[in-house]
Formats: sequence, structure tokens, C-alpha cells
Amino acid sequence: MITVAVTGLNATDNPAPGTGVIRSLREEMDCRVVGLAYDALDTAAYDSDLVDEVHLLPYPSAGQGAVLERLLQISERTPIDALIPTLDSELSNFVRLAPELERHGIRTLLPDLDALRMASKLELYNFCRRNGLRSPSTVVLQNQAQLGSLPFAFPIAIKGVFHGAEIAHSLDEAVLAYEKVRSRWGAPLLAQQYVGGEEYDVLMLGDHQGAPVGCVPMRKLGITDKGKAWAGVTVRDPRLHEESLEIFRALRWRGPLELEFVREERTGKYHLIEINPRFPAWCYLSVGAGQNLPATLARLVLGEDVAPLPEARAGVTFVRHAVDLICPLEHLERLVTMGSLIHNGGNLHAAHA
Amino acid sequence: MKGIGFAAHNATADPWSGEETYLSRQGFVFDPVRGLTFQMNATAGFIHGLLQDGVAIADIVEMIVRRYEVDSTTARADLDDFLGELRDAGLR
Repeated sequence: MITVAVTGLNATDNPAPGTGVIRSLREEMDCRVVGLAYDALDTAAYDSDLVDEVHLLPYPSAGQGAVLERLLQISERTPIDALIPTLDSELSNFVRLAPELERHGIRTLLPDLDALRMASKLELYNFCRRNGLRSPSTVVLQNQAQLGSLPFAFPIAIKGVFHGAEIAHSLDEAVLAYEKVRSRWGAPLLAQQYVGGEEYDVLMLGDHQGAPVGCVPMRKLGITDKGKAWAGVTVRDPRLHEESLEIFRALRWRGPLELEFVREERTGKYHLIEINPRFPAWCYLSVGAGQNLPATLARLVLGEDVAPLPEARAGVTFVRHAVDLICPLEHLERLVTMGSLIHNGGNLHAAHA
Repeated sequence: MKGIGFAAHNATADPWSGEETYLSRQGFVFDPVRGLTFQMNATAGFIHGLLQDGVAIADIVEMIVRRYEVDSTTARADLDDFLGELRDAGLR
């Protein structure tokens, strides 16, 4: 049986994608799932139906060396065949570590650093301009004073480089939004021209050559106060599909990514507002739409040839549903004190060694 | 219907293909291009059924007059409103 390691286990009000990725894998593959958590309270760590074992990783800021050392330690105990990172902040570490991980039998399918940079929020506007793609004007904010001389009118969106976004309708609101996002997520920030309309997200997957093998477009039906989709429905718009493919081809992306669009109310045109270089939290919807993209990624990682998947079904709906997990205190204790928690079929004693 | 091809799905026939607009017997509409959903009331469903069958606007007005016991001016105005709503929703 193969073993797949997945990060991003914290499914709270801003859910990480790990839970959706693992549920998708479970639908199609007989595999052992190693959860990689950054905090002992990462929620999915306690769901034994999802993860067979969980191990704490050092935060990405600890550096590649610390992350590699810990991963190899985990893989020595439970050999990992495939690794699926799902968080923006960890990706550059894993891209750099990929060759070394591969030497130890841990395979990945990740974009190269150039593609990752082009898709970053800091570079997105320039990337779109170079490739003739529609995207709202964006300015990188090194300081708050720049808010007074933006080349576009209010309303605007103030965004963090990895997370966080606020809409501001005036300079006063923009200053407040700037401070709110900066204090939470750090500088630099971005100011983006606000485009009013409905939000559409497209999940895509590229193979080892950067050719698209899957594409699942979705309209957000319900959004939380953090802008996260809490319900959605798959759509089938040839124009959205073609524009997504155009972006994908320009990036030659390997692995999963999410394109976020706004369909401008006035013109009906799609504007690319963000690229997320990973699976979105709603990726389990791809299973319902007939394109299990997390499992397809795992097959690609493991060296299978995968032909482009049949078009995703439209009208498949998801709603997110929060449940409380009950777990014994010992599980929390093990994760806190030992950094590892084995749910199913593992050697608990060895895990503590 | 033009544009997205409002060849409405018949809920009792084959499974919906996902390519055309979905319309159930209960008047629930899903536009697969934009991902929008609508709920038609009974009157709208009746009129929409006639439109789908290709019945001429003048004949629909006459049927509304008979069925709902309104004068033809009111019927025509209501029908125009409904057609406008369908257009606004991108469904006509």
C-alpha cells in the first residue's frame, strides 16, 4: 500500500485544503495517509477516518533544513511515497527540497520557482499584462502613504501577500484596512482595483510537463466573512474554461492551482484576481464533478500516465459542514509532547521513539 | 430561447447532461454557464412552458387573459416584465 503525506490539516473558519485532499484520496485510493501538522490543534489531526497518523512539522520559517530533517525522520518510520503540500507559505521550501526528497523516495509534483513567482500576488498583475490577460490594476504597497496616490479610484481591495483581504471604499477605510491586514499578515501589501461581480474559482491540475489534465470551475454560492467559499456549484462556461487554459498554458504549471475570477457585472468579462498555487479547500467538489484531482495528482506523482480528464459536470453543489470531533486527552497529549499521533495500524511505541 | 440554449431539462426523462439549462417540474432553474439558480412561481412556470413550446406572444397573452381573468393590457404588461426578467438573468 502506498503512503501519501498531506499538509494543511487545520479546518477552521479559514480551512486549509488538507481535509478535502485526503477525503478525495480516500474516495479512489487504498493508501495510508500521513498528516503533517504545524500545530497540535490542527483539527484534522484528530480524525482517524482521515489520517492514519499525524506528525508535527516545524513551521516553514524554521527553514528548509529543519523541515527536511523532520520529514526524513518521519519517513524513516513510515516510508512516504508521495507528498502533497497544500499551503502557500510552505511551497517554496518544498519546491527547493523536492530533488532531495525524491532521493529519499518522497515524490512530489510541484511548479518550478519561476512559475511560483509569476503566480504570486506580488507578480500577478505584471504576469497578466505581459500575457494579455484581464486582471485588475494592482499596486504593491511598501507603506501606508502610497494609499493616497493610487492610480485607480475607490473602492479597492487591500490584500496580504499570502492571506487576508479587505475592501475599502474610501481613503479612511483603506488606512484602517491596511493596518488590519498588515498587523495580521505582515508587509508588503497589495492594493487592487475592485471589480464588482460574481466570484468564480477554477481548480486546475497540470502534469509533469505543465500540460493541463483537469479543470473544475465553480461559482461561489455562499461566502464567509473571510471571503471563503462555504457553498458552491460547478459551472460549464466555455469562455471561462478557455481563459483558464490560456492562463495555465502561460504558466506551464505542474501540480494543482486555483484561479480566482470575478465576472464583471457590467460587461460579463472575467477578471483574474488571484492565483493560489495549490489545491483550494473546496477541492473535494472535484470528486463530485467527475474529476478527482487530488487522487489524479497522487497518480501523477507516483509516475502513472494520466490522460486529460473528461469535462467536469456542471450543477454539482457543495456545502461545507462543521462537526465537532471528540477525542481522548491522550491524543492531544501525544501530539503536544511527542510530536506524533498514530491512529491506525502503526507502532505507537516506535512513533514515540 | 437563445444564447445558452434553454432546451430545458425534463426531470422525468434522461438524466440532465449539464450542458443546457436545468428546469425541473417544480420550476427550479439552474443556469450551468453562470451557476445561477432561480425558482419560478406557478404563473412563471406556465408561461415559460408556453415559450418553450414556441407559442406566439399574442397567443400567450390570450391564454393569460383566460386563465387568470385579467384584461389583455395587464396580461401583456406582466408578460413583458417576465420576459425582461428572463433577459436580465441571461435566460432569453
